[in-house]
Amino acid sequence: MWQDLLVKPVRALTWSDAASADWALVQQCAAGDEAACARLMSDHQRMVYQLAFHLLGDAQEALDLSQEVFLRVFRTLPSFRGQSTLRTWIYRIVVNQASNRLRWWRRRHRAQQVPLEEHAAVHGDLPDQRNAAMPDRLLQQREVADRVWGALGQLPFDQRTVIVLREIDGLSYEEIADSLGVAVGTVKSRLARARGTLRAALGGA
Amino acid sequence: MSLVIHTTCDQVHDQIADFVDGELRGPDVLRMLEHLDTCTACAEEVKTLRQMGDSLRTAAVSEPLPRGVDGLSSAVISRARAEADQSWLAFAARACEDWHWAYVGAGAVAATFVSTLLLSVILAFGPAPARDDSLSALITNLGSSAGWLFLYGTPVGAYGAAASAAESPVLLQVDNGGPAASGVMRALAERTSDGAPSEADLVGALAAEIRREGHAGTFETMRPADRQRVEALLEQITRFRLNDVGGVGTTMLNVHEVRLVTSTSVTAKGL
Repeated sequence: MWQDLLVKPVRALTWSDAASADWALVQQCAAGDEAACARLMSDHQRMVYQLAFHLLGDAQEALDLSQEVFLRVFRTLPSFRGQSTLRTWIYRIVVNQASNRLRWWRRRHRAQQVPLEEHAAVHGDLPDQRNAAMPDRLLQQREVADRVWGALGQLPFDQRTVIVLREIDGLSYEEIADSLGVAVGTVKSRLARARGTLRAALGGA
Repeated sequence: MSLVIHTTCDQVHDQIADFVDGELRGPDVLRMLEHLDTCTACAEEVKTLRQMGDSLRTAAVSEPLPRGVDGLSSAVISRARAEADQSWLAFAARACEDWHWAYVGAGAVAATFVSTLLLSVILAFGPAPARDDSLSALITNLGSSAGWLFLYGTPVGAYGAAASAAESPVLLQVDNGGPAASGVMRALAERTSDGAPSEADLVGALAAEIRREGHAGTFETMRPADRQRVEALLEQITRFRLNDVGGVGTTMLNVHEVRLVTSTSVTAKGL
């Protein structure tokens, strides 16, 4: 009886399917299809914002950077040839833009920077109003998170980038290398240095 | 029966991070797992790395997304659209929408083509310029004879004897090859009965030439052709007189001086 059943073969979803879906989306965006552009953004906007935030450490800066990233994506989309996946291509743009912004920010504000110790000596430690009404568990979580961000902020930009892409965004070594335009060996060495620094900074966190 | 291969910490140390990150493959994973079963130090290292990753991920998750993230797409698309509207491509597209720039361009090209064609026709088939101060007149002037050669000398005897004190020095103009000379002489010869013009004929012709418009003309005001005719008449009259004075045509001259008088007159427009 089972021989009478009509069996329709279903092909498994593969990476090439995802790539061709990306490619079709890219083509539509490059042709000026605004619905496709909106779809591309909704697919990637959280990813872009979160990476920007983890690299810059400031929500407003990350939001501005996300806008710049997507504008750049749409400007340069016609030159996308599909050598890498759309996701890693966008990651590369985020990292480059964040690096540029940090460099610009350091040049512009270096003269105005005041060390934290000096600020605390003059104004005293700032009371953390945000933590006042939190339950203990959340408070402890918040403290750990603050320490993590503090330690992350101390890392050089290239090390911070690889640790964020690996641990938070979950990219493989190869994808990270592709996003940054470096060799896999460079990714591994940066990752090892970043972990060493973080371990020393976090201690038992 | 199973084959157990014991590995040391040094052998697997460099692979611990790869193992935690899921980058180890096949046999290396099995070897690492076997090592971690027996080595607490390496197992602790793996645990520490995993905890660090968990801390990062937990910290990342605890950060709330700002409201602006979800409205990002409309802002970006508006800006992208505004940029596209200001691009050269968009400008060209707008210009071609009602074809007015295309018409302007085509009209300009057609006008240029017609003007060029008209100018070429005028230059190729138009009348030659006849003005005295035109370029062609200047070229004609430059192409004429170089000037007038004058000999200043004293006639000597038929046998080459020394010049007598009684004979006066004469000024003789040598033939300058002017094209009008032969024409004028032929015209005069045809008018006389014996076939050769006399000095009186020549003087009459000269008088008629220089008083053609009712008043005495000068070289400066004459047209080149008239001036050439007058010069030819003067030359011929000089020859007649030299024959009368000393028979220069048959005797010899003691030449004291040779002068080449030359000039080129160019009349600029408006002067």
